[in-house]
Amino acid sequence: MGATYLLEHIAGCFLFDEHLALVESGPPEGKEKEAFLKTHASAVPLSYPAHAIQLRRALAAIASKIPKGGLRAANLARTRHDVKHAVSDDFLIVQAVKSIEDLDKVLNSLAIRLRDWYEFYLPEYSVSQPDHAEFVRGVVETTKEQFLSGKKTDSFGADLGKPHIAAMKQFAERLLGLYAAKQELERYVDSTMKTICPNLRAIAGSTLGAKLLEHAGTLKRLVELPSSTVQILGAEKALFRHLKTGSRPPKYGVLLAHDAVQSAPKGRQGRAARILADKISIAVRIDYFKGQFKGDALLEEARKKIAQ
Amino acid sequence: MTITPSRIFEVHEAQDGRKRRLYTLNAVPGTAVYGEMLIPTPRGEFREWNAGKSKLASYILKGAQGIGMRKGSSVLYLGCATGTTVSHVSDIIGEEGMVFAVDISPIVMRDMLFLAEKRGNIIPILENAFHVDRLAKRISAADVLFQDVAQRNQVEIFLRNADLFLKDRGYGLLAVKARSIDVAAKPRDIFKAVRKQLEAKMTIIDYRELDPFQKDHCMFMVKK
Repeated sequence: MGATYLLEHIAGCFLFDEHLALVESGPPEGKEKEAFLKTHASAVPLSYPAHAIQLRRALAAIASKIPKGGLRAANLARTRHDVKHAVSDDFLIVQAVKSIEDLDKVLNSLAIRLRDWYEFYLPEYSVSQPDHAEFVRGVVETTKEQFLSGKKTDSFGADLGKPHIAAMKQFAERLLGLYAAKQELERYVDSTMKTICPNLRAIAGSTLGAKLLEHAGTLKRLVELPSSTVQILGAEKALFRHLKTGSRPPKYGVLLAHDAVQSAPKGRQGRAARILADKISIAVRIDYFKGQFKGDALLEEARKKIAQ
Repeated sequence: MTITPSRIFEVHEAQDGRKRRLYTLNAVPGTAVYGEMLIPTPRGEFREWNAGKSKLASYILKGAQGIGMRKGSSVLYLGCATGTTVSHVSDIIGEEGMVFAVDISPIVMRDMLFLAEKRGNIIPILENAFHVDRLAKRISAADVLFQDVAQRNQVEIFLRNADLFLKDRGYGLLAVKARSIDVAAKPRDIFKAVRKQLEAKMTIIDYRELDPFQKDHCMFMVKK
């Protein structure tokens, strides 16, 4: 036989003698490959790092032997397959959360624009309704007359013709559509979080949990982070400023939005964030390894500890 | 503005006022990869190589004597991202050459796949460059190793890959991003430490800092 070493490669199976000269090559996959491997069962499969020296010489030996077209085709097919199967639910959640955040930004500036515009017509209404979403709804649903009925004084807004008012209303209707889109996305994030990370959702809430996912990138990366990093996710700017200039380190990032941190007394919020991050780390690990649901108990533990 | 061959194989240059611009001959005429300028000439279509987007181009503009690649070279390119630089490497090595374009992120690999389908000398691989055992089943030995991965252990990754995949007397190019090794330390100190790590295993033949094109980056060229 003579063959001593075997390299299972995407372009085929390669057999080498003890001087790492190529002896024979076989098919890359399928039944033929299995049969080929069986007939050469005595050859040692080259692995790293055990056979680093042999592997280097083997790869150099086949460099000129592998047809480039076949190597490229096999790798291309494999990479297409890998990319296709790399998509997981946490990628989708991150995109949905980013869309919600973008919608928030856009809606805020568009609502302010509508206010500026509508205030020519009815300034009193804009002032009386500080909430953007409610304001936009009011523009669509109520008329100037309805708003002013029962008021002592008339509006000092201009009396505009029908086409001007219609333009504002149509724009406001579109904004309402965007508010609805945001709600739909939030429902989608919530239900997806429920299936892929129920423990994280229970302890941090679906929005905050999804934001943590967004900052980590993927669930796997969030799992691999120490809880001290989870504590300050979202405060990267402050952290790097601290590392570079020695300013005070951040105590919390996105976790500040959690009500357990919010309700902690000022000066103890950093401690609350630390305790919460600790439990969140446990929760995401349970989620990643598909353990039993323990989210509510973890949240309870965190709250107790914070209250101490 | 006249385009003339530069001292780097298959790379062309032109003086545009005070700015020096680099070009490669487009292997897929009529198609730009990342919004770069295309300049048709009787010698073929030149594609501008934007140094602000490519560390290899900045290295050349900073005065590199060579990059080790020429027509027919095989290149192992770690950290290919969406393929901005890979597309120019593909132009340089021509149809006879091949470039293994490796990246860990499936998101950037999408663009890479579209590029690879258009260019017959690019072999895309979605893999962690640290796992050389898995790479060993996908590629063969290469004449040139280029790495730009922005990982904390980037030097270790480079040495492993050079050890296994770089042919004897092959060239290695390592783009070091100081910020991904340590955000707080001075870049110069980090470059010094990298130099020591490299010198232990290989011969350094060139070193250039890449500013103003890339901040806190440098390029090492080594020979095996």
